[in-house]
Amino acid sequence: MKHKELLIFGLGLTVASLYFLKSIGWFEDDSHLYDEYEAK
Amino acid sequence: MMTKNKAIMIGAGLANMAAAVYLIQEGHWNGNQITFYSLDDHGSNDGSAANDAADEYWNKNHPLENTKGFVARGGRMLNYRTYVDLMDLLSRVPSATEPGMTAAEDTRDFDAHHRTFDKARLMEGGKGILNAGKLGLNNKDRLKLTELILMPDSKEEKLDNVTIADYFQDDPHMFETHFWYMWETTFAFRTQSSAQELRRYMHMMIYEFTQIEHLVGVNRTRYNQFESMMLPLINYLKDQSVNIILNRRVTDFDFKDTPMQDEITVTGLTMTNTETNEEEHVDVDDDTAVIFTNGSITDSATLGDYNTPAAENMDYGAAASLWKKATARFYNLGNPDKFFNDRNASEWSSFTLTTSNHVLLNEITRITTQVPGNALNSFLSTSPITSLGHKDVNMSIVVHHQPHFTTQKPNESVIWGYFLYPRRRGEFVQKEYIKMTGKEMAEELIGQLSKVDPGPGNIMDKKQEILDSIINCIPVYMPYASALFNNRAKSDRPKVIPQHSTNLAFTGEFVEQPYQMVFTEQSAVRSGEIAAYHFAGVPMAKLVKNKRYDRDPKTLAKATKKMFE
Repeated sequence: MKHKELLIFGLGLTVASLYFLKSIGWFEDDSHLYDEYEAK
Repeated sequence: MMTKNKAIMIGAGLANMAAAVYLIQEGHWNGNQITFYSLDDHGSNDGSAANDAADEYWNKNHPLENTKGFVARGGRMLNYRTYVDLMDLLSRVPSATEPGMTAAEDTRDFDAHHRTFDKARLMEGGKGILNAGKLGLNNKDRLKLTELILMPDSKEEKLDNVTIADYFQDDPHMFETHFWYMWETTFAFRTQSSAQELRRYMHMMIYEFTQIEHLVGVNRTRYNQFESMMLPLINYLKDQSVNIILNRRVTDFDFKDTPMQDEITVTGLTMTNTETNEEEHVDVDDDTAVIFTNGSITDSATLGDYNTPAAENMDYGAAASLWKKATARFYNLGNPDKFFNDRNASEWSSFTLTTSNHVLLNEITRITTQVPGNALNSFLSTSPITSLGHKDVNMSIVVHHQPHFTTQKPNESVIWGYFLYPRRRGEFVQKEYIKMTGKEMAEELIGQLSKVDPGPGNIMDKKQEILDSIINCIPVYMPYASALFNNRAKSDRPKVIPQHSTNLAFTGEFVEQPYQMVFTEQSAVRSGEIAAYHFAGVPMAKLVKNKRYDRDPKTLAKATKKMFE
């Protein structure tokens, strides 16, 4: 039972952390922001 | 082919100077491939003896009676961590005043020996120096600020056409906090300014959030920004044989006619020689890029003197007028009226005070408990002055390290200050700041200092001595000083290289760039860098890397902790 609670807590913490990182743009890819300005 | 072999720069401010340096150094152009047309060669980064500024373009119709002393219309604080493109630019040119140093080394050397540590960021009558580190936020304020900090770039358009006042509509308490008093006066945000831009500042300046009351991390140039920043660039470009033609106001574009009417190709420029008033025309061929700074926060700015208020100049601005001509032809170049047709949101007044001795300087040192050197001191009103019935900052001053000008005499001192809301009335001189002479602004400053003077004695006891020491106090009215913060949507500013443009780029503070915040030399320089790389065929991967502190959990954790102080 204790293991199950720990697992659920761990999963919850992971999801919350991922959500937080996503919300601050952690996963946003800036590498293509300037592609449109490349000389063609 | 988008790459070009020649460039015409419209405007000789920092952004286009940067473009020229990058064209030469990264694009391997020769200087003689570049020609500037501009009213002057300092842009908004000015600073000079008043005598030199007295007959500049915007002041021609109301010349100064007293041309003694010095004037700088504005002043900027740097931040190495976020102004990385600017520091890269300054590392490419020799200092104008320090032999053997680059302009970047000059600034870093000065800054290392003169660290900013503000000890009197906020002051209030009857209370003296406030403990500004206590930001005074309540939970609603914290929630609204957190929403801004956590809003990623991809959601930014949710704040299109939302003012700061709109954003905090249900939370007027925000405007009574130390946080707001410091934030508005450090960066010059007004309540009518764009919440979208405030979001960008909360992201890019998040590092400063934790130390805003001391301005730790704020860096300054050795002298005024013209001598420490613009002059090194001008000297370098002239050495490279760049052609800088001044006293020209570019008034119109010729554009190529195409069947779809959406290809943006400049084929000619019409301009006025402001010395002779004659009209001139310059043809633009297929091999020439036109790099245009489409707005200036010091356009239409006017000077007064010790006995004369600065007159209000109703000109739309040289750069913005030309931008408007371009928007009349193409629909994807933004909306200049958002920035230049709302003076109520953008205007300020500033003053530069020159004294023949250090009496006033020493009194400020005694009252603020800090030595002269780049602090920013703001004086809070003792009674409500905002439309919401709140107290607010009356005026702010910067006492620079002396000398602030290379030609300043040893005993002279120069102090700069500004009124973010120039239509408000003085507390010691009963008139609107905008209508004050230089002498009245000095009297208002002495009055504000007297309210926070801890004694013994009071600065008022030395009022006449101080007034007698004033060589000049030059009021400056700048109708567009905060225009770059005006409320807007993302589409109101053109991209650096607009869609369908073949040879026209936009640079400066009125262009849309990913995540950059305006009113920083950083964004202006980066816009020039992008334009230069585009037309020289340099890969954008070579742009200076910008660290995103807003995505750094440690920085965010510190900011969160600070919010509860």
